Amino acid sequence: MTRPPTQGSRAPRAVVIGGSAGAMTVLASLLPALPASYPVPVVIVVHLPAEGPDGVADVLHHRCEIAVKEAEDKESLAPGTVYVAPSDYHVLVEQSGYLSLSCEEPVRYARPSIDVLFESAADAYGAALVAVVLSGANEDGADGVRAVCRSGGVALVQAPKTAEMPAMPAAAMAACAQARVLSPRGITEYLCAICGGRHVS
Amino acid sequence: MTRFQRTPTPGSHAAIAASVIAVLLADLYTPLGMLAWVFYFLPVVFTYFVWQPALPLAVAGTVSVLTVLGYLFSPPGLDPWTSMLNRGFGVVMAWALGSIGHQFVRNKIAIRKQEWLQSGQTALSDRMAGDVTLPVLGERVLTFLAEYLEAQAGAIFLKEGASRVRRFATYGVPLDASVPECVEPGDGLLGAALKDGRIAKVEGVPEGYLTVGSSLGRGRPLHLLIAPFVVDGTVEAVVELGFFQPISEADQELLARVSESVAVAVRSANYRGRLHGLLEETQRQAEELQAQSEELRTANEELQEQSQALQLSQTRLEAQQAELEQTNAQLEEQAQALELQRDELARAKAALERHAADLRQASRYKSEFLANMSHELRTPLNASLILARVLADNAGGNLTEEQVKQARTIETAGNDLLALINDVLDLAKVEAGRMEAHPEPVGLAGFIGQLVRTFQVVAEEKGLRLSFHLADEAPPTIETDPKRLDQVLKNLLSNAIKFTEQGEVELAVRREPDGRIAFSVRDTGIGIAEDQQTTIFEPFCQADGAVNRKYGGTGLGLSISRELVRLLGGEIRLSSAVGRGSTFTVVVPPVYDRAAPIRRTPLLDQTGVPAASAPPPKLATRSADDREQLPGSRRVVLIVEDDEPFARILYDLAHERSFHALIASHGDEAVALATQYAPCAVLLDIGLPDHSGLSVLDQLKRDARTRHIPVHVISSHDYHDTALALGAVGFLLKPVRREQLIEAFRTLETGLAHQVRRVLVVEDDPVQLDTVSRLLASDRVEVVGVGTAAECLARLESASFDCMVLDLNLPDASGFTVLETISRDDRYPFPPVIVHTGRDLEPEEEQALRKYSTSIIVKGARSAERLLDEATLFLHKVESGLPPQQAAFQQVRSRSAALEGRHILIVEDDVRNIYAVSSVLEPQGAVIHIARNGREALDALRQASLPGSQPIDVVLMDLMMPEMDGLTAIREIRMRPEWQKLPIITLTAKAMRQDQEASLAAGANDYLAKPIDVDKLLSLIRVWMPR
Amino acid sequence: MRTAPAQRGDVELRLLLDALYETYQYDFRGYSMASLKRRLSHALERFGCPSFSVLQHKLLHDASVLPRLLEYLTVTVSEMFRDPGFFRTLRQDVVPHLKTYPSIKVWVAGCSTGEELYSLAILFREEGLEARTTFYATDINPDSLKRAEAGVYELDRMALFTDNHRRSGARCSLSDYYTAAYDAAVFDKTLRRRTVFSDHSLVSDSVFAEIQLISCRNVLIYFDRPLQDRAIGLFHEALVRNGFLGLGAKETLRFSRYAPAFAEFAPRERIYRKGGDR
Repeated sequence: MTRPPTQGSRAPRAVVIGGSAGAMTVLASLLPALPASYPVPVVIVVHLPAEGPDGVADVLHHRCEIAVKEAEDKESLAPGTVYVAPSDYHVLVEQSGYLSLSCEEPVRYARPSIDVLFESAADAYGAALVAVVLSGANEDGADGVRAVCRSGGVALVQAPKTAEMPAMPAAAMAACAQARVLSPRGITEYLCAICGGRHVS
Repeated sequence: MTRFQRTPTPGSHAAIAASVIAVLLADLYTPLGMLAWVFYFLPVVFTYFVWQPALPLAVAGTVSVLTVLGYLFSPPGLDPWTSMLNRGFGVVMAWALGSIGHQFVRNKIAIRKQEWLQSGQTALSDRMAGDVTLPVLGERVLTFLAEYLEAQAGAIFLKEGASRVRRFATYGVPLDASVPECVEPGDGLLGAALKDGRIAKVEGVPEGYLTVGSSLGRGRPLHLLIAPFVVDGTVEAVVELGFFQPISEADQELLARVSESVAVAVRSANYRGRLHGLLEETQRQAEELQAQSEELRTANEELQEQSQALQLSQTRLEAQQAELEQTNAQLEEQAQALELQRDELARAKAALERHAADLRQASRYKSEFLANMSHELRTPLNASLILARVLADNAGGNLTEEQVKQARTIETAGNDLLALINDVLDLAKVEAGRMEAHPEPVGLAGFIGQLVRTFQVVAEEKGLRLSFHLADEAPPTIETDPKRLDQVLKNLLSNAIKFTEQGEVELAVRREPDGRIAFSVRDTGIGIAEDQQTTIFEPFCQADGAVNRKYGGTGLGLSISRELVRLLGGEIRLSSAVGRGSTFTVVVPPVYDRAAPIRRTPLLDQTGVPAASAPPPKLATRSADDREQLPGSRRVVLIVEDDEPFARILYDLAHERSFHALIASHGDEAVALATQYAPCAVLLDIGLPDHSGLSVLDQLKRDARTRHIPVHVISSHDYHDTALALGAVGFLLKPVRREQLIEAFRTLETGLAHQVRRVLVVEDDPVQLDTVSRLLASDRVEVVGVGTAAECLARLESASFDCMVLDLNLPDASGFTVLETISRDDRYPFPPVIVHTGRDLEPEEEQALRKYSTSIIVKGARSAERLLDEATLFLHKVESGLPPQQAAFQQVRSRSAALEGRHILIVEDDVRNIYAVSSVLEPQGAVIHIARNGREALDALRQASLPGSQPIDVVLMDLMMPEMDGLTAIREIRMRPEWQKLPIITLTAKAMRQDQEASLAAGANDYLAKPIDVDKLLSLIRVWMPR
Repeated sequence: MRTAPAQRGDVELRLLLDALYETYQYDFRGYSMASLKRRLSHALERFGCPSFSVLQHKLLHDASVLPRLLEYLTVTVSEMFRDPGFFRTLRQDVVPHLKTYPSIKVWVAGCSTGEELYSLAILFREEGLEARTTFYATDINPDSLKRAEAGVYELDRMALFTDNHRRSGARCSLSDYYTAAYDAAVFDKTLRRRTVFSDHSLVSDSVFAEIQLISCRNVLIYFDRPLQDRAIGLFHEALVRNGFLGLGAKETLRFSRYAPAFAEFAPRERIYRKGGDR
């Protein structure tokens, strides 16, 4: 069962989410559950074709109370905002609390890469981070989750049997034994509980 | 040797001694001649079995002495001589036997030693056999040697790898004893052994050497043996052994014998070790390869997985695509429908616009009619009023008091007439919808009371009762324009009284349910028929023409009232029945709303009289003015006024303000004069004989040559807003006071201070010339266009310009020639030039032009935009004075002329920099040569060094250039012996220390960082300039 | 917003960058740290160093480490005609403005291995501007510059480049500009005839010429904001009035203090125009 995160120094200061095939379905139900006053920023990497339309932020924006936008270079992270990685750019979290983009080589064929986001976020936020791995067809995110766990952060993994593509969550579970395996609904409840906000019924 | 001597049988020495003593006794007690001493041989032979080589000889000696003693002391027997002889033989025999014995024992011992050595060797070989590692080998060899040689302590050092000799094992040495871990050749005894390959023996070991330890204590060995193990001349190992007992030669020999075999064993162990390492490495690599192939396989699988994922997302995208296409199709359909609607709307709009244009034209006819009328009235009045005033002021002091009084009377009468005309004009204004409301708080009680009091007398005279009623719920004050409201109510009240023969007239004020205030004027008069109730508000209509004649009036009153009420944001209602009186109700909002749109209804339709009905133009009688005497003065004012006296007044006033004045009495003349003389200001009347002053104003403002001239309108019509909208700087309504005119001149004067910028456009194509002129002209920019180089020069000579736009292709000369001419000839001022050319320029041409122009524009799709932008920039800059960079250049110009006549080569591809640098150096008298890359620089230097040419004194070298960069060029230059000392200063944009060092390393004398500091550049050049 | 207590690794990283600057004058201290740290961590593996301190020691005592380290410090990922829409807009809307200049200078700032430069050179040739244009291709990595100057690219990247080129509104094939040899494509030497390749640092160096068009795409994202501002300041200084500045698809001037000095010319393609000083 999900337990709300405890208060105090370990209260999360950011949420990072990664996913690939099948993740959009989960996000489409997860993000609308977050209130506009969500107390921390959320950064999302979803693998998309490089040439595809940059519509993820737009698509999600219309369904959500919380602000959803495409991440921009050197943009300061603000609570109550969801930042979606633009296609063909890695997104990194800087220690001083803003985002950087990068065109470096794809990592595990992916740009944006979940590993890159998670590792930089783990570096920046340490234990005050919640990382979520959703459905996906490759192993991107496993190294990232490992880094998050190592620095004391919380890792949530979508239960493979609930995922359209179980490869990514399975790899994440293998990489990090402490990761909590939750259903999409469980993940939503956990994230909502961060702000003591409403739960999905 | 003792090691090989067998311990003698116990008692053997005693037996020998006993046998010797027994023989002695027998000898002593037997007389001579008894050969008892013969038995002395027995002990000698016995000694053969005792393992002491010396013993046989010793016994032989002993028995020899005893034999002699026996001879001396034996009782006499046989012949003593013979006996002595016998005994002599016996002694000889004993010695012989002793010697043999001695030899025998020695041989025996030697054989034993050999056996020991042999068995030692064999045993050691056995120990070393097999596949042993270095540590095991060391341990075994040392243990064996120590045991075999009966050493008390030992340590063995083996060669490991190529050269190092390391301790591998110790024997009998306590753990905490200091035994060196490694030995270097030459380092101590061990090192010496290592180096020389010789066995070293140390007797009486000093303190600090090997120690021997056991549980009972520790001691120090007395003797040390250090032996290297050598094969093929290399030392493979060294052993150090410590002994309590002295070291025998056999020990050393054994060590010498095993030396090679141990060395070989160490070497093979080393080989084996290395081999083993290699084997392990190979195995590891094989494993790695396996792992890699595994990785490849997983990567492959991952790719497959990913391609599946991609397929999945592609399907999804395709679905979206399809949906998008559908939406698109739908949108397109809608767009088409919208387009149809839009076309329809456009058609409707066009129709409406046509109607509106018709209406506007009609309204203009009407305005012109009214304008002519009121002009005709005002013009004479205007002059007479001013002149009357002048007379009344009696400035000359030559009028009698009576005459002054008469003049005052003329003025007063004129003012009365003016008031009358103003009323007429008011009417016109209402019609034109040009009336404005000026709201203020109005106390209702006072307002109504005042109004009623005005009519009280009239009503009483007519025998009518006039009353008013202010309802309780009405607010005490409202906000509206009291003048207009007053006007409307007066009109209604006067009408009511006029049309009522008997009964009463009542004015009631109340609040409507919607909050608005209603003023009702009720009468008991003739009333209005229902079918006429709407038409009476239309202009020029009255309920009945006959009535009109009976009661008098223009019939416009109600129309004006309705328009005024509309102006106030309200409305007029009428309820009436014939014979029973009428009630007109004016409803206005309690607070006037400025933002409320005012609906305007044209009061006149096409019935307006066209301008043709105006009086025919008078023959232009040209007034005397200053046109003959304009010495290029810029203080020229053009007076456009057909009323001769007023024109004179203005003319004098202009002279008073020290302007030259031109007078035009007609519109056409005015435009021609303005174009020809370009006056600095125009004073314009509206009512002119040929066309309206407004059209003159419009023409002036449309012509690029005159649009900048400020125009001040003086008119008897209130065209204030129209005139200003057309671009006039001010408006005065006739009649004007002298003070107002003076003020107007003052305005013009301040305007003059804000000089109009003048641009000269040189362009041979008339269409282009026109386009460019239109583009650049504005209120504050005057454009003069010419088509040839000659005209251009003429214009430049006669007038000054703030900026020049120059086409390069001119019919009579090229733009280059023009630029060169004006730069050479002092007669011409040199304004900033924008080169506007239709053709591409060669780099050389561009460079040549850059000397004169900072802005070169190639004509094209987007050139107009840039032209306007850069011209504006220049005109703007003229105002703000010199740019800071130029100021800096001027500052340094005053320095001493160290550069006079010196030749400086600038190697630089950036035109801006070339221009900047040469504009610093040229005023100093330097001759500038330019190369745009390293290769050109080399050519230029070669050229300059030919006989007959002036050599280059200093080179300024940019680093980043096409074709050949600066550093390469410098190196090339330095390769030529004659240019070894040529000063070269590099100009670099790079900040890194090593870049600057690189310049110096390549052969430059100095460097200067960009952006270039002018002072620094000059001082650097002075420093490096050869003297 | 300080997020985590300073970790030893970060201190070491700062010291390494200080050492790099003090010793070799390569200044990476103003780069975006998250990405730089990531790249340097890869370098640690390559050099077999357990920590940044060890790498620093190695770097200080062995100058031959520097060029290999630069490979990690600079990002050399690039492609030709990347974001074809950018080049299409250049062709359609920017080139007509450039045609009004008798001679044109183009600065490819941070040219890396030259893909952007060749793209522009090809576009300028196709639009008839090549003859009056000088290109400046600058980068801090000498190795990248060398590769840019060589103009040789893997043959298997040509499919992507060709497609991009076509979508940029080209009227002929990209294959007109290169020769395929073995598994590489060698670009026409004459394309770089008018190009100056030079080492130039946006961190420390200054302006070198008056420029009409600057292309600096996907370079600024590796800088932190103060450094981005410095670079944009340089561009502002170098550009002529109304000169053009092209940035990467996800880069923006919005957060820069120079934002008011530029006007958006083609916002979607991130093409800006230097405003006047009026």
